[in-house]
Amino acid sequence: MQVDLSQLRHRLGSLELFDGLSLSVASGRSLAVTGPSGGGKSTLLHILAGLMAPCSGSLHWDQVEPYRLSARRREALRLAHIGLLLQQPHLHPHLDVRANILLAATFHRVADAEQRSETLLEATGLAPCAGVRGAAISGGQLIRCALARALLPRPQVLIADEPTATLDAASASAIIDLLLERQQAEGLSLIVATHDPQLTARCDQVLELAS
Amino acid sequence: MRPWGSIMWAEIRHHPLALPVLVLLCAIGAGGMALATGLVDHMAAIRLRAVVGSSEERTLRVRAPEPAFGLSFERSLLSDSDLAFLTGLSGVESHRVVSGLPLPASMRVRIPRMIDARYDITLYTLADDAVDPALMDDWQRDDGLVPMILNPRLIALYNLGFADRYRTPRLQRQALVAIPLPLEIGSDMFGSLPNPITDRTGVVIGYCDDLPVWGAGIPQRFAAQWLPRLFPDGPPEGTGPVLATLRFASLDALVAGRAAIRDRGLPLEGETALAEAILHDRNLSRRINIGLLALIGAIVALATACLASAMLSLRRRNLALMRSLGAGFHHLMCLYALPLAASAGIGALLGSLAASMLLPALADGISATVPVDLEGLEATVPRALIVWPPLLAVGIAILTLIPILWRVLRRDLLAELRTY
Repeated sequence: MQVDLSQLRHRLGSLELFDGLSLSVASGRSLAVTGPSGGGKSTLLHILAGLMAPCSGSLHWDQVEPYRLSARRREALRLAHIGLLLQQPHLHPHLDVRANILLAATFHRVADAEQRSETLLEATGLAPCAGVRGAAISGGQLIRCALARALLPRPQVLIADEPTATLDAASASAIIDLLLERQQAEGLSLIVATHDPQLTARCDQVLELAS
Repeated sequence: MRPWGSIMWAEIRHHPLALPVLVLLCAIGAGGMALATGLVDHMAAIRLRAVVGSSEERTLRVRAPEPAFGLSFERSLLSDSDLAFLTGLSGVESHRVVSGLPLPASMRVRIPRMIDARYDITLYTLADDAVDPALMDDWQRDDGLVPMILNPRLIALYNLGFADRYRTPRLQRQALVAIPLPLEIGSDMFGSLPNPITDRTGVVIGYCDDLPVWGAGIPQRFAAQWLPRLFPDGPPEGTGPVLATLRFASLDALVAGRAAIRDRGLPLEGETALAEAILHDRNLSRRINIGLLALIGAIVALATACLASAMLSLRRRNLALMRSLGAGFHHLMCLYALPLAASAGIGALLGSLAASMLLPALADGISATVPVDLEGLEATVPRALIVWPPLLAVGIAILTLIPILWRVLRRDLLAELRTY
């Protein structure tokens, strides 16, 4: 899926974040969004994910303009096509890792959800701890689990908000490898906000937001 | 398989105290409803049994109308047309007309007090053998004494009020000592029964609703002797119908007959409390039960709403997570309504069952405080009170959840995800 954003203007209160920002991410390509904290990276990702309507400008997911759809249809489209990896992994603390991944298939239909979850457990290296509760796994595993959950519905775009921000260098490197490996394997478009130069360097495009 | 069961279980385990609290709340609520209504019904049943089971069952006693001047002792007799009316009332099973001296078998006088209130005292003519023979002999030796068996508490009142005003002889206290009035008026500990009137042996022979009603007994032998004192210008002579006793075939007939007698302006005597008590009990029980059910239901509903609200507040993080993964109103309703409704229903059912087991013991305790033969009277929780509270609790749980979840879904998802 191609993501196109044009002439984005957005302000939070009196703070003007974007003034005429345009970007395009082709299907299967990756974009790193960098910039200082408070520069609007997360806000940009929320707008791209269909979670926050911009003040002006247009967003296209392929030919569809999500913000012209009703909230219900936009939500359905988002759940079907956009995978979301937020800054906080947000696992259910009392569900095990497998159930946390399958949570993405609980509230809307995903074909072969169980088989897909097993594949993702293997792919993310979480198979050994599939039965461990969400509250009992490490930070790196949390990110992996959240990534697996985001990938479960076979999205065409993965939007990740600073996935390595809370990890040590080794774990961050592993997550970057996993993220890009899954992007390649699944043919995803990847949009990732990050401060990590290693991840930035490995993305196809880089968008640096000014402070 | 979608992990609905595991999510539900995980949500229950997230704050495991909420549902047991709800179970307890609904158990107390439903148990309280069942116990309260059961006890109210039992009290009404005791009262009805007491009234209906008394010696004058389904009986009305009708006196002649009061004279125009309330304090006069002149009393007209029951007229022929009155008697024809009374005996012709629908549902009269049998009747008896008591003839007597113009001083009727039972007469109500008002005794002015020193203060502004008045006491009603019913004067009864008593069979001569109701009085100790030695005392009767003693009384006969004293021409100046009108013997009257009176509650000792009334002596001063009588002497100061009645005797002085109407120039009747004062009562001698020594003549009355140790002779209790053959009637005693008491009250039950809950105050819901009519005040039972017992005879000397403690057997309930009647009931009255309005205290103070005191009785004074005059032996028949002295009634004629007393009359010239009351009517110095010439006492009424001869005998005539002074009291009609009507026995009705059913309580409904009694109630209808009572209304007709009232309409005619004839005063009722004695067991008039019967119809009053029955009607009063029916209305009172119904009002009390409805009031209690509404009050307890409202308290339980409010508490359930607070509990559900607190439960969801503690799960804002999970709710935000599930909403971000596409959970809508119906998903969250399924997830939370089922355990909530099940807990409420189970709690209410347990409460109702516990109440049905507790009620007989409590009812027995109450019955023991009432001097009425209650053989065969059992208190049971009606089946409706075991079925309805659980259904009501389930309904309340679901209904209170709807606006709370609606409010949750109106919160900004991104803010919720960021905050929690």
